[in-house]
Amino acid sequence: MKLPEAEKSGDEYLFEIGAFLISSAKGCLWEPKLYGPLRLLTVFSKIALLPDYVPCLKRDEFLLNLREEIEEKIIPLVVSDPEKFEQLIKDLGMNLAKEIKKRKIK
Amino acid sequence: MESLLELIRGRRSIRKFTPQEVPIQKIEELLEAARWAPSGGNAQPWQFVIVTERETIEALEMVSPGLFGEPSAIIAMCFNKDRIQSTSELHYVDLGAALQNLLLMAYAEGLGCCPIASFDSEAVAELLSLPGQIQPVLLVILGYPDEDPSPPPRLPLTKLIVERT
Repeated sequence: MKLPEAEKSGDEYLFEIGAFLISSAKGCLWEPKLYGPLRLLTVFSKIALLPDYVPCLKRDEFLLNLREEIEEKIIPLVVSDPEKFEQLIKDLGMNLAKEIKKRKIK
Repeated sequence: MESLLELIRGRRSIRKFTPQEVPIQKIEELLEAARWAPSGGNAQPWQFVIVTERETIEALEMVSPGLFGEPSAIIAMCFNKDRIQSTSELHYVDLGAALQNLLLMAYAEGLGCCPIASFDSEAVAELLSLPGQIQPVLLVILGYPDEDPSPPPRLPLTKLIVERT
C-alpha cells in the first residue's frame, strides 16, 4: 500500500481507486473466493487515506486504526492462514457495529 | 554458497522493498537463469518485459489488484504465441519452470521477488504496448527485501507421496 505522496492530487488518487476497483471486479470473475474480501479491504485501506489527498475531508482516527489493523494483521493472512483471515474479518464487522452504535445511537 | 535445497527452502515471496534500485545487469542475470529452464519440444514459449520506469510501474499497479509494495522493477513474464506449437496447456508448465529459476536466482543474489497473477492481462498488454502475440501471464515484482517473512506451512511428504512397491 502506497503512503500519501505530496505530488499526487485528489483527482489522481480517485482515478487510482477507480482503476483498482474495475480491475478487481474483473479478477473476481475467476480468482479464489477469498480474494473478493481481500480486494474490498484493500480498497477500504485506500479510501481511509482519502483525506490526505482531498483537503476538505477530515482524517478519521477510527478508520485509520482499522486500516492499520487490516494492513498489518489481516491482509497478510489471506495466504498463510485463511481461516484466521476470515475470523478477523468477522471481528472487524463487530468492531464496526460498536463504532456505528457509538456515533449514531444515543 | 548455500546448497540448492537450502536455497529452495529459504526463498520467500517478498512484497515489501527498500527504495534501492536494482541494476539492469542484475535483472538480466535473473532472466539468464529463466531462459535455461526446460520447455516441451524446446519451444521456449516465454518473452520477458522489464519495467523499471516509475510512471509505468505505477500505471501497472492501477490494473493489478494483487500488486502490493513498491517494487524497483517488474518483470512481465509473457507467452510469445508464435513459439507455442502445442494446443495443450503444457506451456504454462514451461513458464512455471522459468519462473522458479528466476525466483531462486533472485534469492541467491539477495533480491526479493513475488509472482503476481492477479492483474488484468489485456490492460497490461495495452499499457506496455505489446504486440498481439505477446500475452502477459505473470508479473514478477522485484527489489531489495524489506521484510523477512516466515514460511507458510507445507504439507508433509507423507501426504504427498503414494508409494507402490
